[in-house]
Amino acid sequence: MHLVIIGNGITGVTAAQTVRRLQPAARITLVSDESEHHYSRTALMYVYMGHLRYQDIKPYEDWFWKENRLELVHGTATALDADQHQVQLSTGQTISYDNLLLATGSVSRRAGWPGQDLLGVQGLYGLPDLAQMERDTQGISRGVVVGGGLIGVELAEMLHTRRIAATVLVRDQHYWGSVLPPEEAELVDKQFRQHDVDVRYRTELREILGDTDGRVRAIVTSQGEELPCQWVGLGIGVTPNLSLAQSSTVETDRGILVNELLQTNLPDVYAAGDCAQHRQPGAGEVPIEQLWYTGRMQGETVAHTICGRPTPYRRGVWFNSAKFFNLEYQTYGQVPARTPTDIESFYWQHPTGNCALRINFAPTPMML
Amino acid sequence: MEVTSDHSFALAQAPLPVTDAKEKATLAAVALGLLALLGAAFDDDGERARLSMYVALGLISGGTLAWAWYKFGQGEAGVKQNNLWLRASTSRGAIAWVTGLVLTGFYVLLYWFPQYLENLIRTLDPFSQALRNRAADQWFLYGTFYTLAVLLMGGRALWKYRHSRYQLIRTLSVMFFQLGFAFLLPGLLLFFQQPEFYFSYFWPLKYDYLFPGGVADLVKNGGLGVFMVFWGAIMSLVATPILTYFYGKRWYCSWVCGCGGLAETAGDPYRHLSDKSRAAWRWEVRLVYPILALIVLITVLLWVNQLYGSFLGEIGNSLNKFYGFAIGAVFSGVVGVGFYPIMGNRVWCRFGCPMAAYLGLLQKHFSRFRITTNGGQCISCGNCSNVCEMGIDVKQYAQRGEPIIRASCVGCGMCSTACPRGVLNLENAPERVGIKHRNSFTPIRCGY
Amino acid sequence: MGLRLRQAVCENWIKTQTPIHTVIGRLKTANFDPEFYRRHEPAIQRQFAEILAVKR
Ligand SMILES: Cc1cc2nc3c(=O)[nH]c(=O)nc-3n(C[C@H](O)[C@H](O)[C@H](O)COP(=O)(O)OP(=O)(O)OC[C@H]3O[C@@H](n4cnc5c(N)ncnc54)[C@H](O)[C@@H]3O)c2cc1C
Ligand code: SF4
Repeated sequence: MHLVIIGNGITGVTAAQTVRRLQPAARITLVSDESEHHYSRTALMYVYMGHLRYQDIKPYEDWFWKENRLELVHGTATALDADQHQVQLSTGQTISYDNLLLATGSVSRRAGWPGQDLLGVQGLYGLPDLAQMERDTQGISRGVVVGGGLIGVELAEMLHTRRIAATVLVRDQHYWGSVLPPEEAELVDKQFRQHDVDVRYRTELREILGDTDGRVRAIVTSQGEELPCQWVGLGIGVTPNLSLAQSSTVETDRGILVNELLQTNLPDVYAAGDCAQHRQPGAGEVPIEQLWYTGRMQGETVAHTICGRPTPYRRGVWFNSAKFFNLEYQTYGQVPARTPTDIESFYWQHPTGNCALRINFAPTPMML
Repeated sequence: MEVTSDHSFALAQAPLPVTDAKEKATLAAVALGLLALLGAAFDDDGERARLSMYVALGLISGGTLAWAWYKFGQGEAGVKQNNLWLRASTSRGAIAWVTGLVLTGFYVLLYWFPQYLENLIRTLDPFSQALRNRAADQWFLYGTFYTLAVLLMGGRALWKYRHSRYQLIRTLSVMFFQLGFAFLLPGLLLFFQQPEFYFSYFWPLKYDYLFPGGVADLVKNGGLGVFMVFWGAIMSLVATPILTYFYGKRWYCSWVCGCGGLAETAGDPYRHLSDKSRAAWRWEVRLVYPILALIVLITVLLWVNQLYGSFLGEIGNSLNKFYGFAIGAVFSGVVGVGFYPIMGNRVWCRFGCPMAAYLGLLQKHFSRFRITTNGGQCISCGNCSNVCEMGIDVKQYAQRGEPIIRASCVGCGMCSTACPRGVLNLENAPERVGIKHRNSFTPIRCGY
Repeated sequence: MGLRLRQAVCENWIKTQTPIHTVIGRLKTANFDPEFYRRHEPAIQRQFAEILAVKR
């Protein structure tokens, strides 16, 4: 069996490892264009902040790939021919596959703001973004971060370590309004305040203004206020990377559509991770999961199916974690931003405001 | 998308935020202090040299503490690693090489050319008289500098890690043992005409404590000497296995030991420099266990000679001489500390220390200690591996949801402190088997 | 927030729909904070008891 995987992110790499374990004889090829070896996207911020170097965020040493007979191709897959079971590469090469896994991840979302293509406006998703941020934030005095989610707070922290004043625009009335209840959001807000980050709630970006060289000079908020700045970070989320999928007859919506076995509409073509959209997500689950953890779980699951052990993807008990400056966050199960009326919520907070615990439960009978 | 290869992916080196005036002032004080120290070293006039020395110690101490407070003592408590790999001093830049050369040079003078340190040694005479009732020698100079380094940089560690109670208590512990057990107490023993004995060092690290010659020397001193021999033997052969069974090797390496104490305080800025590669791990195994075997062999040979007459000739003694030079002086001193800024702060502990090897074997096979990983929360960011001074690639275990049971782990707890996802925890729980592995996948080959 | 909890324990509680009293009572088993960290379970349990008392 020759398995070809497009994308060497956590999804593709987990699938490759699992297939190697299940089928020691399989031939496995990983095609990816961003980096020669798998690296941890989640750790990009630590490279910018100087905690780590690029080689430190590679989860495996370079010998790992060869010793486990995982063939690496550094290039872009430009076209997919499902009838011929072939993938066309930017290098001019064509690879034939028995099974193909699309694990192409995401791209940063842009909302179509005027001025969003100016120099100094960017998202943060991959290595090119990191290099660009490194280049464009040198010697500047103020940056504006758009988006009150996880990437938004990371960008603010990154600027903070270079002593660049940061303003964060948050659409909701509190931080990460879609996920955090107000009490927890207040704790994050405290972190922002302690780190001198200027956060504007209920504020959106209206327009980005440039100077004569095509560089960012200021932004205008939805309130009409003009804020001078030399860099704008977009942290408003990511959207599935469909560039390869769209070269073929694979069915897509926002992401690549898959069933619960993570199969696409084409034979022997699978999709998993950030780029996949579940046709029928489980109750209370979202159709597109954009997390490191879900990428890993989907990669492991799809590997079983590819190896002839059809395994439906089950999310299991939801969990996630993050860190907001110095504040760690962990969550297990469903803890929505607004507690539903049929659920009781117990919330405890330490007087210092440095830690807190929330447990949601059904009032009758009183259980989780 | 732009194609970036691993090799070409080098970020345009960011200019660091400029060191501000206040920080510069504290560093200037330290630099002046070092200059005054140099002055004292070259001044043949005893009075003046002593004055220089006091000025030097004052400036270095004040400057270091002020700098540490300024850098780490202010603002919110939390992980403070910014620019670690960007600064020349902590990323094998020019400053690091100079620091390494100076340290190495100092050790070379100390071991083989103490005559060049004579002026400095003499400046400590009054202090040595007061503490030990005798003139200072090169080892007293060394002990004073060493203890001062542990205390001053211990202050820095206390500020830097003040968000972690584990780190606070552990740092206080190494400071206490260095000052009390490895400096003041041996001095006081001398004052009372007793043998200079270190209650916090044991065979096989302090190998001569169980050599026939060492034992004989101690026993000569009557009751207290006999107790010291007894203490040394019990600690090495009975207490060590028991304590390691319950707490892991950390009870010694990162809580009590003086070498560990220096590594955890003065060496803390260099902990990330230890090599995490599999190749380094292979060197570790190749070196540290043979060294343990060698010192055990030497001990046995010497005892055999002692008990059955010297039919083995001088083998034991010559081996001992060789060991003292190659391992005791060159490895533990010159390389062990001199190379801090280049190879990390635990070079000796990791590649050379027979005590660490002995404790490590116990920890791996007969101990409750381990670092547990919390389910599937790891994001493979690599912060844990980065801060591991023993060069363990911690994330290899964490990203697979496996507990870390490694001979070399000294239990400093920094991986747990640095992890942004709360994945790691040091535990002494009774059951080691049946630890749940959440991530069922196990990559096929990981070395180790 | 600012606390580390054991994933295996929490998942098990959620999966088995453990009664809230049991969870609060056994909070300690879920604690994953490093050694010597201040333990907050007593304060949490006290607050839970107070809320319950008010409700009754
Ligand atoms: C800054 C940042 C921080 C994050 N932090 C967290 C976190 O703390 N916790 C968490 O759970 N999640 C986090 N995430 C999200 C997480 O990183 C992603 O969900 C995860 O990396 C997705 O993995 P993947 O393998 O599906 O895709 P990716 O990691 O995106 O990998 C896909 C790879 O495929 C390549 N590729 C795409 N198309 C082609 C093609 N046609 N030819 C060749 N190669 C191609 C891409 O270049 C990319 O390298 C973070 C994301 C970012 C950007
Ligand atoms: S254990 Fe923590 S620090 Fe280590 S790689 Fe995983 S998330 Fe990062």
